[in-house]
Amino acid sequence: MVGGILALVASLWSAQAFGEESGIAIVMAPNAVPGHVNRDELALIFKRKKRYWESGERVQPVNLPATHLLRRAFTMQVYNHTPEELEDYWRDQYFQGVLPPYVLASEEAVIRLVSATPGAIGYVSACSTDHRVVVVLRLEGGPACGH
Amino acid sequence: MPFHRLIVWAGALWMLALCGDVMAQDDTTLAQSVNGTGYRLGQGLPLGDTGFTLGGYGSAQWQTLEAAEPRIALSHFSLFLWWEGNGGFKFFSELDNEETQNDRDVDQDGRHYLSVERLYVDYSFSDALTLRAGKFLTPIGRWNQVHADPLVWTTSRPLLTREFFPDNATGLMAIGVVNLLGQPLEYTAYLSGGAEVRPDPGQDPFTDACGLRINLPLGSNLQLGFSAASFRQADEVSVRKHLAGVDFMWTLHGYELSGEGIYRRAETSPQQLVKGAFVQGVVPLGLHVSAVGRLEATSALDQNDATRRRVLGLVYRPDRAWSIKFEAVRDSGAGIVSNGMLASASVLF
Repeated sequence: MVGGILALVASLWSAQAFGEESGIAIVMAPNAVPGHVNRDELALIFKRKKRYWESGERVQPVNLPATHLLRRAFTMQVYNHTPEELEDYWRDQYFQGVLPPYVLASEEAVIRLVSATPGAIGYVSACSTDHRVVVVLRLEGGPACGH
Repeated sequence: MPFHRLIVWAGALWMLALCGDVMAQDDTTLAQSVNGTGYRLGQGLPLGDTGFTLGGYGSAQWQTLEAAEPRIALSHFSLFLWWEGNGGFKFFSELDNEETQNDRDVDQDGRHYLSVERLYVDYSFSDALTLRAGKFLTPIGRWNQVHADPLVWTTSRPLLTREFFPDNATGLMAIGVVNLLGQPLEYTAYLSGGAEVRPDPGQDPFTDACGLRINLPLGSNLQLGFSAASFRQADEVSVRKHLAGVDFMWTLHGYELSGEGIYRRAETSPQQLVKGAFVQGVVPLGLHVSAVGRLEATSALDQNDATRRRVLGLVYRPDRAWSIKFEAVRDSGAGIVSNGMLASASVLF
């Protein structure tokens, strides 16, 4: 009995101590961070309605492919729609000469581009973040790390 | 009205849908194979690193209406060319080899013409203010601003979007997104002195116009729009008209409900009071097929009866780029009557 409790406490402590992270991390380059990014701004950014940071720099949003589990989780979290449900929106925007955010194939590609591009913003699994980027907002959901 | 034909067309459409699912698998391969060029159907062709993008759409239309010969026509072949750099400037143009839908000053042979649909330069100061100069689509209601065939659910246009105001205006426009009580309110304000670039021969263009439109999203599924305009048109340049409009769109998991209403009165000619509205619903049926229905009503004070239109159709839309539509149209009342069937195929390229 006592052994079981100790094991439970130990597992909880280790999870805290080693910072097991979950969720979706919204990332930018460390030297290009705006004051803050909230969920409403994020929704405008990835619909290309917000095109400038407060500094006047252009916002460069970066997406994962529409079939990527993290993209689907991100889109549901931010818009409450699947990527397919946003197709009508992008069809209308194309008619106005507005293209969707640039698509990169992997989370590593997102981190590389975001860390090297002024004004860029993307999303990766919280457990994929490292020193090359800073997390400006964290959302719940997303696939478990390693997927 | 041969509504039974709709059933036949529905069967044909279903067959197409089944074939289309097989084709869609090939489309994936095609999309991947052309990705190296930067091109995907419906997303335009970037012209190297110049900042220019080339795109457009085409549509072919078949119609058989009462008191008219059945006809097939290339209704639109439209090219977009736009440039956007890293600064605030953007250039956009749309040339359209189109068949005009209005009957003013045209005969059957004179409907095709090369239209400058849009030609403008934008300069963005911030998200809250972009200035536009040139020829643009009149921002009244929602339909007119996305009226291209691949973007809408029916081949026929709602009457009020064709008859109550011209499609285009030439002048200055301010566009922006501002925060209103935590909601992103989009506004469009414009001023036109007439001088239309290549006006549509089937339309009565503005001689002067000013107006405002706002669009307010309410949550993630509903948008509300309000339009107001004051203008004069070339046919009756002495008559100033005042217009007010409201529109909405609700979407959820492929279902859609939208509508527009317009009230327009003439300052010195009270009998020219016109009003109209439509409501349209879309229901997904599966296999990329959706059913669409629309009810319209327009009325003019100088006519005894209102015009009513019912549209019922099916749309096969396998992806963002292309669609096939079939619809039955039934009119009644005092206005233009055009009962019959329409179909179209359109592709956004």
